[in-house]
Amino acid sequence: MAEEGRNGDGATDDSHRKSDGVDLISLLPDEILQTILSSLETFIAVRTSILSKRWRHVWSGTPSLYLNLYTHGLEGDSINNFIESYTVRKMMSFELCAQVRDKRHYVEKWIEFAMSRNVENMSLNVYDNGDQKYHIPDFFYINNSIRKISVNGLYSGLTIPSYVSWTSLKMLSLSSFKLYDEYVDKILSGCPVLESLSLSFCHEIMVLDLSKSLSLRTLEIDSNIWYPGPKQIVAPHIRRLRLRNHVLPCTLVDVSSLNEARLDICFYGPENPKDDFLQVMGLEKLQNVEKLTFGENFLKILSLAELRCVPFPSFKVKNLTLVTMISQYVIPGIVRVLQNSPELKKLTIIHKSEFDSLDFPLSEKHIDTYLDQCLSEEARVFENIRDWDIESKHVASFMELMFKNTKTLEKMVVWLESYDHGRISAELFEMVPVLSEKNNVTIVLNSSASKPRD
Amino acid sequence: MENEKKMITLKSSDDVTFEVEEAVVLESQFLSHLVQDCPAPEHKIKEVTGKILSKVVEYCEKHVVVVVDGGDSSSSSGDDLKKWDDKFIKEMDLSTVYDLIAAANYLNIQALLDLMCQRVADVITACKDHKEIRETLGIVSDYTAEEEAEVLKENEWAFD
Repeated sequence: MAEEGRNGDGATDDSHRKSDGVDLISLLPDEILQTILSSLETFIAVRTSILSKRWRHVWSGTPSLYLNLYTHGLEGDSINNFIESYTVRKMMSFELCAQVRDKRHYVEKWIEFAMSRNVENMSLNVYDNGDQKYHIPDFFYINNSIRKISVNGLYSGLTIPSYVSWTSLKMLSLSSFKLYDEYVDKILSGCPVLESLSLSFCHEIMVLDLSKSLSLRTLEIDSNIWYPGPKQIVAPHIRRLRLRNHVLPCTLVDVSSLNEARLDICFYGPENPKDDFLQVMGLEKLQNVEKLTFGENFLKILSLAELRCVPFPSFKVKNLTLVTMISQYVIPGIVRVLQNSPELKKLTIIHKSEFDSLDFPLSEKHIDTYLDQCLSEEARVFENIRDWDIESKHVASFMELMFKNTKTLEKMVVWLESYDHGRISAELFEMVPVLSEKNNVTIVLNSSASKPRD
Repeated sequence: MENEKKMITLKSSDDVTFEVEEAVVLESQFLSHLVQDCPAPEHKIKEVTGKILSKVVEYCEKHVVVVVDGGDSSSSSGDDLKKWDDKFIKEMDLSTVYDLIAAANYLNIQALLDLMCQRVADVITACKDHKEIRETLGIVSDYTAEEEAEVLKENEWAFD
């Protein structure tokens, strides 16, 4: 078959040169065509075999496969033919989407196949319908070529065999699993070089203890109120932490090597939060972090804490980012953080529109009770403004307020994402030089129509 | 670091010259080796035309600025860059895309190569069947009817 291909290629090349380069793409080397095919669903990549003789066998050397068994079922003999034609021995990535049902045998065959081709990145989206759990076969848990695994359980259960050994695994991402503490322990004990762990909507974890994962540098947790994340995080080796939509209470027990943190906290509970919630969270554990990003709801929680005179730690943050609407509700919290950050060099403000907020924000009425009594003069400018009311003067006042509360700032970056950012930014651009000179800070103003990425 | 901006001149196959900062050249693995191994003020790149080299330089200049200036800033700069990339490829015809693929491959600029390959992949995905792919990419089939039927049968599942 290989010889046939080569003959075919030769003939095709000649004819294409004669056709005055109309078909330029076929002149590219196989390796590049395979890079192009790598980002296509595999059935489309295979379809290119029909284009011309030049293309007949190109797909079979594509280093990455993406099989969606929902749309294109590959079963029985087709699997065997496919595996026989596919020539790659060291696969870059393999992604499988499948509903297991009666196809368990095929799903396992595909996983086994990818592993036998020494795949580096494996991504599985497999689930059984109904209440049944799909158990990923035990052989999946013992492998030394995989560097990156991403498994989405679609809210099914997970059984972990007693022995896990992923000796090359650097990145692990688990989504939508019921995951108990002992499962996490078992998995982590088999990943000696793991650098990055991402848990999305994995519930049932109480204490996430990562103290034995010496290489772990990055931890990301996505939660919501139905699938809250761990209640305690023990992660002495991590450098970067990202909590998205995290449900309080959650305690940072040990994050002593942390260098960078991004916190979006969601708040759920009908009652007025208790006074000690900041201590419970372990905010003082962020004292040594150099790069901090706070989401809007977390800023509101900090406002509430400030208004109730809860003691704040001081921060060594040098680079602070605030992702928020401009409103009276975030001001007290921001002012306190700025005043407690004596080493701050760079402040980035990403103005998010209101339609973009988290699930279950802290109810503003909790803050209102206190604000009525003690809203400062400068915060009155922002009283009761909504996204569509924001004007240039509000943004300028907001910036002024920032400058007033920090002495060490060298640079401010502002991203505008408001309702009518075009008009606002044109006016603001004119104000920037004056603000910059007056406060002796470099100001970079950006306005973009689409949202900054999370 | 900021005050030592070393300039390097690149000359295309058709003798169009581009004066760029050294940091821009370092985006290309091939050029960084070339510059290190032979510290001449001007480098001729025989394999790339002026038209394509100008695009390569434009791409590298944009990407280098963001890395140097906004490396530690928020992810927004990454978002901004992505938007710039989208615009960069949007206005490009396919023959320029192929030339840029060849140039990025030769100069070893992985990010540019990936971007261009993704563009072609998007074009293929947008086609409803293989006839449209042939038409769009200018591929002429050299299969006989029998051969075509055989290939179809071989990978039947993919053509469902």
